[in-house]
Amino acid sequence: MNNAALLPIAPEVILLAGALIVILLLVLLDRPYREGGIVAMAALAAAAVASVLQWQALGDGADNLYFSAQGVPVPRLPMVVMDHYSAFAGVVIFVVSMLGLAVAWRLVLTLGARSAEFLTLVLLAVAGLHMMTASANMIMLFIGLETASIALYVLAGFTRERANADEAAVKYFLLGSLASVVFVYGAALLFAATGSTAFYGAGSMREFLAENIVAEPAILLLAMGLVIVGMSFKVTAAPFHQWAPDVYQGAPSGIVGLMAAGVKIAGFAALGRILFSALPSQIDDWAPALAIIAGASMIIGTVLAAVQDDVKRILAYSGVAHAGYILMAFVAGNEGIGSMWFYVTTYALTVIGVFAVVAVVSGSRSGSSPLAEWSGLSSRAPVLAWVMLIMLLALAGIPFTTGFVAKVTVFTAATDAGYLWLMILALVTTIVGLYVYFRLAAVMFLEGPAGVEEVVVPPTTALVLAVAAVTTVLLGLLPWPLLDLAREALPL
Amino acid sequence: MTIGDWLTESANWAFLFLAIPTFVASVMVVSSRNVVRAVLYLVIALGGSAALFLMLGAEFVGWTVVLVYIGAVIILFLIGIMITRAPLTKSVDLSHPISAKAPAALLSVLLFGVVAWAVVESFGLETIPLPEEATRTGEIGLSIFTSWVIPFEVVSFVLLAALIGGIVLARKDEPAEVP
Amino acid sequence: MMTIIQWILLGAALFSVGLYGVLTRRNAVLVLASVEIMLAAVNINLVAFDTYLSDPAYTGQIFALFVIALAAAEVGVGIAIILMIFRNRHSVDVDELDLMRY
Repeated sequence: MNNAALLPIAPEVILLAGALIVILLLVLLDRPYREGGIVAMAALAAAAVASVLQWQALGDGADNLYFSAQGVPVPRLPMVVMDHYSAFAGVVIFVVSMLGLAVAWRLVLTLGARSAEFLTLVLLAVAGLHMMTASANMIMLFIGLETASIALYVLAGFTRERANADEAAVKYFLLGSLASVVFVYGAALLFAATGSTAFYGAGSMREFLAENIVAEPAILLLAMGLVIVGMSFKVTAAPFHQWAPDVYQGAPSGIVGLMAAGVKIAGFAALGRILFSALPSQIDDWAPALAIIAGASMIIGTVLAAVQDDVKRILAYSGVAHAGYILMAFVAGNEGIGSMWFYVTTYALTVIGVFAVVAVVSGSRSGSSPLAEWSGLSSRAPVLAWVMLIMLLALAGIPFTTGFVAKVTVFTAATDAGYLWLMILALVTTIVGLYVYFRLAAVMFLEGPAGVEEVVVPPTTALVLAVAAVTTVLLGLLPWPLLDLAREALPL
Repeated sequence: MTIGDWLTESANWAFLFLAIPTFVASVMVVSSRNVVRAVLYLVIALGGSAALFLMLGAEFVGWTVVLVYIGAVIILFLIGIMITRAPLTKSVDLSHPISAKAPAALLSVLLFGVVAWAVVESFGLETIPLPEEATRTGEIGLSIFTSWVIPFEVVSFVLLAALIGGIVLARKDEPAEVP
Repeated sequence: MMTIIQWILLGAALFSVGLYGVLTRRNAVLVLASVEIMLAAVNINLVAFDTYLSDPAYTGQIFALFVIALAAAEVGVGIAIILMIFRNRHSVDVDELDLMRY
């Protein structure tokens, strides 16, 4: 086995090695909190580089599928897939995680001896998230999902002495494990309906469905429904979003951005992997179901975001609405993948930036972030307020930001696929959504300052904010490079 | 095939003999008013499922359920009950009031109805071949370590995350952290 | 002859019972126990279909084994989370947590 053969699993191997080194440092050095953080950052950076190398290797015609058993006379099942889809997902997830970890830097330093566990869990969660997008088998996808979920349950409750942190953890855990079991029931019924858990290769689901025209695929419909419901829980699509506001509010602000953005990227990518790669022949069955979930998410997310008094809850419901917009791209099938990637990427960058501001305003350990803390932010910290305004404009979908371009691309994708009603609904909720974001902007800019205390922006957070703000505006003005890459990032 | 034909098959009697207690025990898990009994009924439910796996010839899965679930997971549940000082006698506040139970029951029955309709629609009366001999554990082991070795390795990620997570949440440390 | 539907119906029945438990139980430990019943239902489906399809790679049985391993890990973390919440509030009643607040 040469080195190139290990390339498909290189990001996961790097992250696991990083996680183990972080733990070992705790034994070898005295108080290696900063060193541990640097190792974790380096591991994420190396994983991102590995994903870029994957993308390049694909251009040179590298093998796509990674099998367990090489040269043994047993059924050869592909387990990991390396395609432009997984490589793109890798770069996005790892870069977003680096930004998220930079925001959490202050939190890591204050955790003291528990920082090593924190960093290890972050690395394992990120490895799980990427595994979800790069799996060639339902079993691998489920294991990746569980890796990420279990690590994130713990991260949600990490500042455990605070009352709403334990609430966040238990809620995330109970509803998350319910979602996992619904998902795996769907996977079991998919296995029943198609006789396979593989996405690719001989005897895979896709091959079975292409060869056998199932007359009354009742069990297949049910299985797809359960898989979609299970995944909707994870990406906070309505009506399976109930956990999101409480978990976002309770979890430490420093890590919420990573949780929100990372799970959305991986959840949508994994859903896309299942639907586009394994079940493309059934698009007439799953697209309407996704359209309904998308519509419900936009309405519920926008309406409930308008009545919240806590910035983290507002952002959670705004996330529900955005999950709806992203699902719009799915109804277009293969044509929508590029729009989906562009939306997910730019949304993730914006969300990391927004939660970085939350972590500055309300403290990286704290849970809730009531609107009162935000009043008059423009006079206390003008730069921070303006950066936040840029993010809010992007979330609202105002022109010259990435949010606008992303919305236009998904709206076009849905319209081209014949879902005009969904596009009109999305347009209406976007306009209603303006109220949500301008309400927050008004609190920041028009109301009197809440206190005289100085707002301190840690240097790492400032860096993240700069990156997020610049990309939001720059890619809003010149979206084509990213759009072209996103359109290339198709699954095998 | 009629019900009469179905009942002439001895395997089906064995199935009923195992399936009915499994089902009844799981109903008791979700409805018992005594928290310790609820968990002990879980032993019967899981034991029943293990016996059903043996009947299907899945020896290794059956014994894994016995070892992992009944041996380890149930103990965890009992420790959880012990530590959280749940009342060991009957108590009414283990479940929601009846008003909240009705929609839940409706949803469950609806789900069962949908699944039942879907499987009858898709599979009709297709039969399942009763295995002549059990799947030997060796074959499963060979399969795990050849076709499935990557997921097998990757499960270690989950176990590492669970190990660290369990320690970090449950450990009592750092007096500074006590509120 | 045994039919395949009797196995799936048993699985579906257990899954529905477990779902009912998750929705109605207030004690967090018992919610977790209900999730375990749902997982047992999934495993019955997987193993029954493995036998039905006589898959050469034993996909169904292996899937069931992975589900068991992951469920055990999940219970470990779950009990730790429940222990943490009990330390903080001396109760594991999920109602006090307002599980469905909007």
